[in-house]
Amino acid sequence: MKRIALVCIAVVIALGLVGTSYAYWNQNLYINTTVKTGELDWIFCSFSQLDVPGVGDWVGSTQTPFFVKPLQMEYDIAVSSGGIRPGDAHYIDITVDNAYRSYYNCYFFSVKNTGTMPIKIRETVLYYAGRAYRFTGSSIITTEDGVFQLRWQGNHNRVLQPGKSEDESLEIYLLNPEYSTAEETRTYDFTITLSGVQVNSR
Amino acid sequence: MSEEKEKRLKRNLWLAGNLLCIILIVMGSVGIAYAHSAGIAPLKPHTTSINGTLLQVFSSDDSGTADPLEPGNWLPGNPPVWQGERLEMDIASTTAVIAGGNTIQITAQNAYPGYCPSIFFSLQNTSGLPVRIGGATLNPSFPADELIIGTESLSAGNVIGTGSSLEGILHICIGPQAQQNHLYSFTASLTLESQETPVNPAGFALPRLKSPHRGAYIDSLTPRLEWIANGDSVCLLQIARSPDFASQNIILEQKGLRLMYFIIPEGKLEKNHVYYWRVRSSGFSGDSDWTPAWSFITR
Repeated sequence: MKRIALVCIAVVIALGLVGTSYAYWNQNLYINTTVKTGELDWIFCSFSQLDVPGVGDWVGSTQTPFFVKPLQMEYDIAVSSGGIRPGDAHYIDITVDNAYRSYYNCYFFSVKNTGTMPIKIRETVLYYAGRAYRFTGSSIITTEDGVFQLRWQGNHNRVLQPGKSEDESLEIYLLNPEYSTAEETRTYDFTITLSGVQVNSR
Repeated sequence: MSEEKEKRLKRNLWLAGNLLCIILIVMGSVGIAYAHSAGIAPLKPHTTSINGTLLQVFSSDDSGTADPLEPGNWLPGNPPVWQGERLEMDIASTTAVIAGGNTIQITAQNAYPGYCPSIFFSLQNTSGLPVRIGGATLNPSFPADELIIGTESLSAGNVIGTGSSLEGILHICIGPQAQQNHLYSFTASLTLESQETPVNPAGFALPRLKSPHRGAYIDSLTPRLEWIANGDSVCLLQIARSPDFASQNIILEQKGLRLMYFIIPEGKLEKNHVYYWRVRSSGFSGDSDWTPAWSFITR
């Protein structure tokens, strides 16, 4: 029996040596890596407008440029309503009702970087009457139907750091008869959104 | 001892001997089969162990550093200096530390598409014999448009002399389709082995050119070149005016090709010329040789 035990012990030792000598012949280097990606997001965080209910309307200049020195009237005729879209703060919806030629309004809103990375606001997109109008800098655009002139003022291509916000504004002017094809008793809808991109986007 | 007991003991001894033989045969067979399948030479007695010691590790983007936007180069020095394009701001960061004798822990935070940190490390051969990189594995791998992982100096077959150091580089590039707010984890494993161990030929998979076929006439000056390579490899393409690919005759060299095709942009080719092209792959298991060059003729 002792001899059997000796044989077993010898086998175990031999196997152990085999394992050890194999281990001697290999070594691994491990590079464990975790990469956590950031988040790119923004929202519209505030909205207000010049033409508030119960206060006299504003009208623009009768001559170009229309946005210079708008005047406030005594009467509140046009109704402009809107705000940040509930459930998706990437959009602002605006409705203008009962407006008339020369009607002027200015919308103010703030954009906030809610992600973890800086963003660059590349362009502001305004949807109106089935068309998209892109503002890549402070500029004036006349809508394709000839009804509105729009002026955007904002800091495009400027970097917005996480947690920071920035103010922008959009002015609308309902063109005069000589320029405009505006119809009476019509409701006008606008939707505004932005294109916020990574700062290293080219 | 009675005769009965003696017989029983002899029988037990005989059984034990047989059992031992069977165990050894089975063990031997398993060992040979493993060695064969893994491309590892049968064991030979040796008294020296294979030891690599991590000496230092550096990241191209420690916190507070402008972000690197390309794999870049590490210039020699102590510490080595990373050189390459950087963003003018610090959004992401990547730390690399030695976590135990043979492990590097890399942690990248707030990464974004285009962000390309690079890790430099120095591994010293503290064995009493030269060792060789037997191969490298990456687990898991990711789609190239999400995460590109590349290496330098870690090719299978590279030998580290006794007491010498291997300076390895790991490049990570975040692809355009990387998911936001997502955690990517992977482990790269590098095997060091005896120089006597046969090299696994799988580590040198050569790409195969596909089209346009050798000597083809093509009517476009923006043709599409196609080849076949390992799925986890990045390819380097060269197009030249001469078959020797002398530097002055190379009209285009394109690195980092994950897709197995390339459309030559306008302005590179002229009509009625012969051009030569070849491809080399760089995978986690090493760099391949150049493919034999193929030619095509524009008209």
